[in-house]
Amino acid sequence: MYGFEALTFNIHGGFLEAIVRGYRSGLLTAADYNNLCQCETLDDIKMHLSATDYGPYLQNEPSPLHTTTLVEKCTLKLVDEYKHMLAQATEPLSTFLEYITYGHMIDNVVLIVTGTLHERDVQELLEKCHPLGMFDSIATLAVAQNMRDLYRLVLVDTPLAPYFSECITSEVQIMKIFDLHLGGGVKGGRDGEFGGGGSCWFLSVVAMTHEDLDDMNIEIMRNTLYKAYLEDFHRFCQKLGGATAAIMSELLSFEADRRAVNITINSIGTELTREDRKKLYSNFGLLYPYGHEELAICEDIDQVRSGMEKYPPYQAIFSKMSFGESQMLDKAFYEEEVKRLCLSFEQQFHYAVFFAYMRLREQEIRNLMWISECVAQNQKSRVHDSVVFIF
Amino acid sequence: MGEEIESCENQRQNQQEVSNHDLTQKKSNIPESKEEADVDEQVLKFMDSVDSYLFLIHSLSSTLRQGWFDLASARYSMGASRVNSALLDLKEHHAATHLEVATDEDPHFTLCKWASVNAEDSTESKDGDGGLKHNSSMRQRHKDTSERAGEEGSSPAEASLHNTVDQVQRERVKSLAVFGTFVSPKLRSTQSSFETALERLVEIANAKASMLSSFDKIRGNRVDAYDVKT
Repeated sequence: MYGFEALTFNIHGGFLEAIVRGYRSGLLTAADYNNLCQCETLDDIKMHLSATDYGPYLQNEPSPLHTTTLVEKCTLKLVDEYKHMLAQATEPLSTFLEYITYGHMIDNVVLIVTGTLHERDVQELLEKCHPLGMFDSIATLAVAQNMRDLYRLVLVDTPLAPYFSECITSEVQIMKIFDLHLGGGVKGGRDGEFGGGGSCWFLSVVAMTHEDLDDMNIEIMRNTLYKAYLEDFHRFCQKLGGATAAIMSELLSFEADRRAVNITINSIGTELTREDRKKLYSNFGLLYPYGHEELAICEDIDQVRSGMEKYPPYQAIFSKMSFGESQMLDKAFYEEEVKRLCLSFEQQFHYAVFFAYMRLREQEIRNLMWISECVAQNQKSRVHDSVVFIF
Repeated sequence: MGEEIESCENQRQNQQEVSNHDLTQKKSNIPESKEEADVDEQVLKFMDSVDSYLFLIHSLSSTLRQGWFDLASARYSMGASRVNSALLDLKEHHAATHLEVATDEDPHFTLCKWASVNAEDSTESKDGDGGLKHNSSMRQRHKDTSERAGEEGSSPAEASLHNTVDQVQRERVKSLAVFGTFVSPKLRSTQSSFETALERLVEIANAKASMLSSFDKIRGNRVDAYDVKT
């Protein structure tokens, strides 16, 4: 116990904690996965899932079933449960639940912008967006030609607006510091951490880069937005305090570290410089700051391994892989994440159970997608390459 | 006695006639065995073509299976929002890879991979693509490169080869950029698998052309032999 949560938590959060623990009991077990892995067709998978919580969402789907349809319907179930919890939540739990969806919001923004750059139909792109990350003006993203327009026309009215300040140039940052010395404030972060005053914020917006959107800029924008989101979420959880702060700090630190490793591996062989790569790492986590120094200079997977093996939690992950191999790294990270998420349910009276449940459901949907793809491609022998058992 | 001598002479003449007839028959059989040897050679060539065709079909099937599996792995790793058909580029752009068809005697297909719009660059990528040695249609160009290297000297050819390899690598990264600049290694292996599958398809086309050509020759020989007999 970290504080006196037991005295007051159930007043506002008890009902929803009970709801989410009930939802948790509906997660698929190892026996369910063993049955699914033995299916011959997607219709067999649908038949097995009809006996689970996914049954009502799949029963009306006509045959032949497609893997994307299966994933879409399973995601709809998650969205319905999330909306039910959000509708019942009060502050600060409602804000916490909204934070969980900002990652999907960032993915949707990048999807729309990238698809528009490739001259795709906006309606087609909207159908591919994750439902948890939708907001009212998302279709207007197709009009933006550069970062300034992106912010000014659309993102200024969304929860992502404060995170966009990370994308401004260094010249504008100097202007911000100058204005701070004059006594103004800088608007940033959901909780207005940096104080009120819109004047400096206006200056930073006006002077925002006019660079056109291209593939590299969009990728930098994606990672910068996500970095700002993780740091803001981390600050919010620290402000909540108690068990929520302690457990969420661990979970978000792991997420930040995993993102750092993925950015490093995926940027090997690209034009991203070491300095730019380091700027994409979050400013918290087990690897901050010395691990980031080592990751920034890595040129291959073996150097990443040698840097990560200095940290005991990640040494266990990399010990499962042979030298030069990176295929099983994703599964190893997902397994470690699932272990940590399940442990969060061992304690009561904190909000981390909601975050853990959403992430566990997303992992379950990933498992179902993988099993469906293996069955559809007649590769059942390799289905256990990426399935992560939750229980 | 005289009758016996006459009969002996008659017998000797008959034997000589028979031997002359046999000699004439053998002389007429020599051209026929050479034709049979040609036909046998054509049949062997045809069977070799069929064998290589079947082998290439099997290889293509396994390569495509691996490619689709790697794509599913990439979607698992990066997420469905980053790897989906809605991100493919519909803007007008030049093909990174094209096919050349030569129809001199038999149709022959040559794959020009990662060739840019500029003709000079295209020539460089065709001649200096030493990294792509597995494609049979590329081996001839690689051979041309080595001959040219012997003429010009080793250093300029090596530099040219290095530049071409860099350009090919840049083209590969550029084609994957539709899914984002920082993509998973699994998506890169997917690209490699489908690239190999494209090479196999061209090899299959060449093998099929060779097979059909051999089959036509065999059928032509059989028709000629039938006409001679009738």
